[in-house]
Amino acid sequence: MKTRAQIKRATLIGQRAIEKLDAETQQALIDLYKTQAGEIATRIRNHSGPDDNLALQELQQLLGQVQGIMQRLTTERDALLNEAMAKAADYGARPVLGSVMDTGAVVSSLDSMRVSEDALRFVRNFVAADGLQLSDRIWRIDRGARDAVVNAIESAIIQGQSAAQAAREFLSRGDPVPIDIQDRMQSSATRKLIRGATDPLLTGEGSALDNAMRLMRTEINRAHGEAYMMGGEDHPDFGGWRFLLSPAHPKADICDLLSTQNLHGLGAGVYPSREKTPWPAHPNTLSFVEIVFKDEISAKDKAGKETPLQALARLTPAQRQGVLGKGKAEVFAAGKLTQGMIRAPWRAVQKRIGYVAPKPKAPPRPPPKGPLDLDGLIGFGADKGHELLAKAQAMGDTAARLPEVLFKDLNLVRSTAAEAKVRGGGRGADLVRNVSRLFPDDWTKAADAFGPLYAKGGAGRGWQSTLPGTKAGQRIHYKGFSFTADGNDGMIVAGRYTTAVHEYAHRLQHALPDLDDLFQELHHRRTAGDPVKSLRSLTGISYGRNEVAREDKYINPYQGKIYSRSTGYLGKHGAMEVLTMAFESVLGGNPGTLEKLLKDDREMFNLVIGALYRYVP
Amino acid sequence: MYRKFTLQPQTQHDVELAFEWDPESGDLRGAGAGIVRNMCERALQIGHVNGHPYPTPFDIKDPLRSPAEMAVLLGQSWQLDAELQQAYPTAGPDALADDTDLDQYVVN
Repeated sequence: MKTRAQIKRATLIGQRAIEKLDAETQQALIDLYKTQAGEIATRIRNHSGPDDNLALQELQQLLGQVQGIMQRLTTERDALLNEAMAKAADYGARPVLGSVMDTGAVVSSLDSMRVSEDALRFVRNFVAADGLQLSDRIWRIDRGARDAVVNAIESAIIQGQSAAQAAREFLSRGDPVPIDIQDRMQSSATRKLIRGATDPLLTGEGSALDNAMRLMRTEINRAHGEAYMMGGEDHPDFGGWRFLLSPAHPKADICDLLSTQNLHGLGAGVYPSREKTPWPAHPNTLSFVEIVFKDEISAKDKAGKETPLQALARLTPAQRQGVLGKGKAEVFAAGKLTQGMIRAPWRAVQKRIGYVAPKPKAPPRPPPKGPLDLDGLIGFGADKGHELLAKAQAMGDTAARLPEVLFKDLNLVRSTAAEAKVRGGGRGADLVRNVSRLFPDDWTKAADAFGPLYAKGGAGRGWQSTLPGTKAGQRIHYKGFSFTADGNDGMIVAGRYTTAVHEYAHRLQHALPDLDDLFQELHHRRTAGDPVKSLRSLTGISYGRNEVAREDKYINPYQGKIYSRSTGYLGKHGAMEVLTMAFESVLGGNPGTLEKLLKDDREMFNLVIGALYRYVP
Repeated sequence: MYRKFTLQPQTQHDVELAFEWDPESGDLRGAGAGIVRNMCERALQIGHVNGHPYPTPFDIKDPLRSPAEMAVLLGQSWQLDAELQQAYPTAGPDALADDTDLDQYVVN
């Protein structure tokens, strides 16, 4: 039998393997759907006439070919799903039941293979709360995608055809063709038709790709977790299952409660059996479970047994709202929430307590009038920052509590509730939507109005790109993004919360150049005359040879990075990381970085606070 | 077994960091041990950090026992020695650009 340390180590390795498998499978899905969408585009082009339109008599043959492509897509996607689930179940069963090699590696054994097969069977037959099995869910996705693509092609061609007939009638009478009929004639134009047929597959929340990615992540994680738990409960030292919040957890929700409540006196988020473990709490989650051994359960854990309502009371107000939703959080605050209401629908709770919606509160007071210059903002930030820090200090851990204090106070004068409009689904888009709520609403709305924003997750270095207005109308294919540019289109890749804050700040910088000017002006004031040095020499880490910075007194040399190129937005001095690193340090959720900023660059902190309260686009 | 480190700062705010670390036991000692311990505890509060090449997200789960995680954390503020440079994890690959003309609009 493996030692407990070996099991713990193998558990961690298994979790990392699942994160890697998840990322690889998501990418494979994107590639597969893009390839098949490309096939559909090719078929449409092949059927188009010399006038760049698709005639009605081509419809049936084209639809037959498109359905063949969709069938192929389904077959390949299912193979991907089956393979990924089998791997996930294998990774899940190994930590407890696998064999340990001389090298320390844990590999599959007969027992682990048997359990992984049992887990796969369980996952395939599992009936969720909505009454659907995995096969039902797959069927729904495929039917939805097939219908959307076929309908888009049919209606575009038929609209174009009838508009052409109507146009002929106008012309035969010697009348001009009305604009709306001219527009409809363009429905069957090849480019427009391709976009109409492939967008339901690839683009946005609810697209076939988005749905398939959600399903894949949900089932991979379920196969892994079920196999892990099937293998572990018979271990003689088994004490419970710990519900672990994923580090990539984008926003507060029910998982925050489930991973921290100590209902059984076994410790935070620990449950005594599979049956009692409320995992997974929802689809598309990457939360894990891990085994807890009996002797890991301390006297403090036993003494700390609590009810779900007591656990809720320990959460921050923001977490509580994430767990309960706004309405139930208010009921909780009023002391009327019972245990049974925690997961009940809001409508049922309203009925139960005879809830009457409160009168809408007065809108937040507008920020004080009058723009402030750089020194004015820093001065305002110094006073306000002093007040906020005093409140956070009184709560204990200053750097950890400061964001909570800041948002509570900021929202008295300025709302930060608006969520950016982000095209695309998946974790990256969720992260960007979530972090956009850290910034004042008028900033977020100005960025929305500036141009469309696309976002996706990624394990590597984060990046943001804002394309110039001159790209409008062009088809863009860039590092996994695929869309027709509307002008000022933005793309963000970010794999973690902190990275998303940084990259969304870049987007704001493009949309709000006046705001960026303030930070670049401060940089210029602090570094005028300083030499440019390579980031490689400043950090000792392998940066690109063209990546340089002015050193100054920044808390991180990257903050002084200077961009120089012939096109694209560079701001006043090419110092594009001053604003991003400043907002990341204050809003990125990393107390260590904020602590460093407070200690070593208070001027930058003051500017961020001044801007959050007083900069109005 | 304890390993001895003396690292030079990247910025004017930090000073030379001297400490000893046993990655097997996770123990720290020496003048800079408190700084390193605090840095690890702070990173664990959020579970990930942005590190160099900036901004690359790295998960931080057990930095006192993981040379790769320790290298990421120390590499934020100090020049790494050869041993830590070797342990520094490689960031996940960037997707390939289909249209390299668009590279000019990218900021990190």
